[in-house]
Amino acid sequence: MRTRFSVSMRGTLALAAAGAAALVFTAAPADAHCFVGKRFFPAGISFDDPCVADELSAPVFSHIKEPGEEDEPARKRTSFEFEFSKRIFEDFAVSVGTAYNILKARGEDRRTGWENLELGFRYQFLTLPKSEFVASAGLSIELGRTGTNGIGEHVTVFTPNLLVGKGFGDLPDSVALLRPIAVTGSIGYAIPQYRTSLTSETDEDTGEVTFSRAINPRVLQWNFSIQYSIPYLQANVRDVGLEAPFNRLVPVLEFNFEMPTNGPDRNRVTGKVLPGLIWTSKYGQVGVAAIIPINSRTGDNVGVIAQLHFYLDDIAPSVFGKPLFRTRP
Amino acid sequence: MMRFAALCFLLAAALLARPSPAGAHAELDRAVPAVGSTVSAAPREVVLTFTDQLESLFTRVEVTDSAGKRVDNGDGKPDPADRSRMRVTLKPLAPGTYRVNWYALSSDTHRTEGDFTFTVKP
Repeated sequence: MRTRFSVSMRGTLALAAAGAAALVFTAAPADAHCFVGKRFFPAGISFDDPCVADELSAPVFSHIKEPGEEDEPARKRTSFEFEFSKRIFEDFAVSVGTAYNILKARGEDRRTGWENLELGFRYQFLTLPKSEFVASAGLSIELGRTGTNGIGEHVTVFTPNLLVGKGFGDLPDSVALLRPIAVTGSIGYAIPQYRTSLTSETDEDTGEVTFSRAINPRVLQWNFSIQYSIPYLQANVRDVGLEAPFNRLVPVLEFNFEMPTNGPDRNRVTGKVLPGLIWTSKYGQVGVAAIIPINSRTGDNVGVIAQLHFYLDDIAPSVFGKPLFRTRP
Repeated sequence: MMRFAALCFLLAAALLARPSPAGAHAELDRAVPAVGSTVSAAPREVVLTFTDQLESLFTRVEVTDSAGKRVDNGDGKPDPADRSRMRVTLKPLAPGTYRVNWYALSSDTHRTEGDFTFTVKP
């Protein structure tokens, strides 16, 4: 299951084209990707920012060695994740995403294929510009059997989630240099469509088929990040004279955690710490981070994740710069 | 495969970094007096340079003293000769700390805002 919370709906793409055409020539001011007052929250490297926006992650590349499980050997996973999101209303977006995986275990053939399609719906229900606070709630649906057989799970998984972001621009003057700090976080609960799945195995020698029932665990997922924005520092606190490309950097420390609440791994936490850097430009951002497992259940090897993220509302403002339907003047 | 992925990333990053005449969020690039600076002589104007061109509509700048009183002449607007620049003239300033509040509307109608202080030495 991917950590990123996708949000989307396939059929809306056609609607998007028609709606966008009608909105191309409107001139009212627009809010776009994650600006909240003076604060800009870049998209997280391993999980999303709390705003709804017209954006494209293409791709988020990651490579890590995963530990073995019972009869399965440890394997290297290389993943290319894609996600497109589009605002339908000012505060409501849908998205669609998936990932292409390359799996290689020692002594086994390489397996490749697509993960399941993930749809999502997100509502940004609270935006407080003065406090640099934003919150959104969403539902992510990983559609079972839409990925490559053996890569994507057979079960559909529903994940309601909540995302928040808070900038510290309201700190007093005495600690002004801490104002560029912001934190973001998300919590979700992945609920499989079925509590258990029936699997079959055929003995190659005897032809005997044996059936077994496996629990599809419900999984609590939580993520948070702390970041220090150099652009915020130079524009709102103190111009320390940094020039390009350093004036667009956001050092970030992200944390990802998961814990099944039933099944054989019940209450066993796995997690990763991701120290990284995000560089933002007018049209998108590039992020790179190390993936450091927090315990042996998560893994023993350090991985890497790199993100290429496009702000579609800035790349093509006449098409993506506005929601499909305006609910505010 | 890994080399190909790295190459794709570098190419795309280069595309993201390319300059553009207009069409994205207008963020503050530089200010005179500089953000958070202390100056020895009272400035006569504040000049803000943005990363993109500005629209006059919805774009404004205000300068206030520590009591919140306006000390600018209310003439803040984008510079016609360089629409990525906004300037506002100031009344004579006494020593003290002043706050600059700006609101910008870029040419693609995206809004941004910010504020900072500068100090005039006694």
